Amino acid sequence: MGDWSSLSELLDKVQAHSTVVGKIWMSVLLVFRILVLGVAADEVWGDEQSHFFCNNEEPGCTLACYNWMFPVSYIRYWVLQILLVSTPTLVYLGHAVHVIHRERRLRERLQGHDKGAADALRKPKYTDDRGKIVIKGILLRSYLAQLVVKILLEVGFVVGQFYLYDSPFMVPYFHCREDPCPPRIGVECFISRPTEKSIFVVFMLVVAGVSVFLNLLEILYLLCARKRQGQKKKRAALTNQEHYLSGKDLKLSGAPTAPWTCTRLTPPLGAPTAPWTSTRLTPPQGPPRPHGPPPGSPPHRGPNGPMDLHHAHSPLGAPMAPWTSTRLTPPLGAMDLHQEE
Amino acid sequence: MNWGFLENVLSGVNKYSTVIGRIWLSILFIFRILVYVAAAEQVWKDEQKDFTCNTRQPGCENVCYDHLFPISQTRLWALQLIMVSTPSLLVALHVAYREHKESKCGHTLYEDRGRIDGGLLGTYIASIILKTFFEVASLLAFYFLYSGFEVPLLYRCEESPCPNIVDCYIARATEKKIFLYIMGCTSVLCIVLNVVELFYIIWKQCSKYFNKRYVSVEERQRRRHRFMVSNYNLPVSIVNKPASPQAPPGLNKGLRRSEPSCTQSLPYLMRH
Repeated sequence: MGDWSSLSELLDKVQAHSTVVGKIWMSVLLVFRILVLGVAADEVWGDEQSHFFCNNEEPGCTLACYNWMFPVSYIRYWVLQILLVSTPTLVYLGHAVHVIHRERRLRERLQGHDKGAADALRKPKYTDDRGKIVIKGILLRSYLAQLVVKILLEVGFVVGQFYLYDSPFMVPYFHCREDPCPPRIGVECFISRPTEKSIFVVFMLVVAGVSVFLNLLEILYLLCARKRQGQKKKRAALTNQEHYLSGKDLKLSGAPTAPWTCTRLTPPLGAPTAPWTSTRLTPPQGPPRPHGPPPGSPPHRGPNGPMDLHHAHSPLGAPMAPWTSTRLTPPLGAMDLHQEE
Repeated sequence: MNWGFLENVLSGVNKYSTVIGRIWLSILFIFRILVYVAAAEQVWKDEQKDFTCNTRQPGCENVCYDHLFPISQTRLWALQLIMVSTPSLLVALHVAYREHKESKCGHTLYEDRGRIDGGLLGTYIASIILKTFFEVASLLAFYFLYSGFEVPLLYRCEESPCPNIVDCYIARATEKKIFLYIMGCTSVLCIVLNVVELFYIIWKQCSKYFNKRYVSVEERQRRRHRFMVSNYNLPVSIVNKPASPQAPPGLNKGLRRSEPSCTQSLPYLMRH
């Protein structure tokens, strides 16, 4: 069987720039298709023509009937299928390598330049400091495109297989009327190892189905991950906006702020409630809440860091609104404050 | 036949190629050599044993087979792959020659040995032209030897010693036809890539030559300083000489005309 090492090496390189599902897909391709093809299927189809008989002595009749039944041998068909299905992955590898190369040059240029010029240059977007690629932007689109093309190719090959051979189950013999066999009565031709061949044909069809399923899963995974990232960015943008705006707002009014939160510590004068929320500005009557350090102690950082609004406490001991995490002054222009409980 | 040797040798050429050259190399390895080894060799494996004529005349089958296939299609295909791969080795040879020259001189002659300029540019263009020529020649050979890319199931032979027109049948005719079409398509694709690469290299060199970007004198001095300090460890006073009066201030020459030699003076190197 041929030397698949060059293809295997290239596919190994893509592994580093793929998602988890992509890596599984590649392992499936290598183990269940290439290895099975090379080790097992080749032996099974080895004598496909030498042990193909027709019950007729007419020279050329056997060849004509074999040619009619198997326009392309299964083995060759699967070789072409594996090659063509791997091609979109290799195209993506080319794109990823090109991006990595470009960003490496950008990083070298950034290191070489001084601070002023470095700010004017573009920042590397698709690779991190270790040189590992991040699948986003145009790379994400290229990755999704190659997944879609792979699915189409797999489906195309499966449909083509049904078109060429009708059924995945091989018959032990078939009737043939191809020239130069006698056209009226025809001949019976016998295939070697039909059951074993049927098992392998069905196995390869199932692997093709698994491959399509993995590609679909990968598309869903990428789209969900992208959606989650988008939501995270939106939340982060909102929080940043609040920080920026609260900083301006409180600086102007001169009111003391807890620097580790975006909440002012004393309510605005004359405002009994914050009308944009349902939060009262003075705590409810009742026993004091157990959490929080005593007054005068250094500022307490919550378990989630300085942005943890639930556990913030001022050094002056003045409570903010510990029963919620709502800021006591509204952000400028904010109509709908998202409460994180 | 062991294609691993050819693949090992050609892998080294990858470093000295353009992007299009690397794509060409990948197509050669995966869509041509791999398809040939994994598929085509098996299809043509028993081609003479399975070649049958409807006659019992001894020798008729041999003569008819020899008349139909003066050279086996699979051998012609293998020859094509070898001839088409070989010009790339010229580039590797030229780079090795540059390394040999540098080691003989004892100091660095080239900023980047693998960069396609000077003599290596000529070698690279020659290799592309040779590759294209071999591809076209093989396709024409296929076309005229076998009357196109068709493989008939039935061939009517009337060569001596066959007594009359005999019918001869070729094994796996359809499969062979499909693989010949694949071979033809990949050849045409490689020809297109070679032509594109040729235009790309010529355009790149022309744009470097005609693009008279005026670099500031300070920047030229900084570049010269960096090159000299890194390669020759010369003291700063020697490096910071004013630019020669012949060269217009700040003009970037770009294209190197010829290969530098051991005896050439330092100012030549400083200009590039």
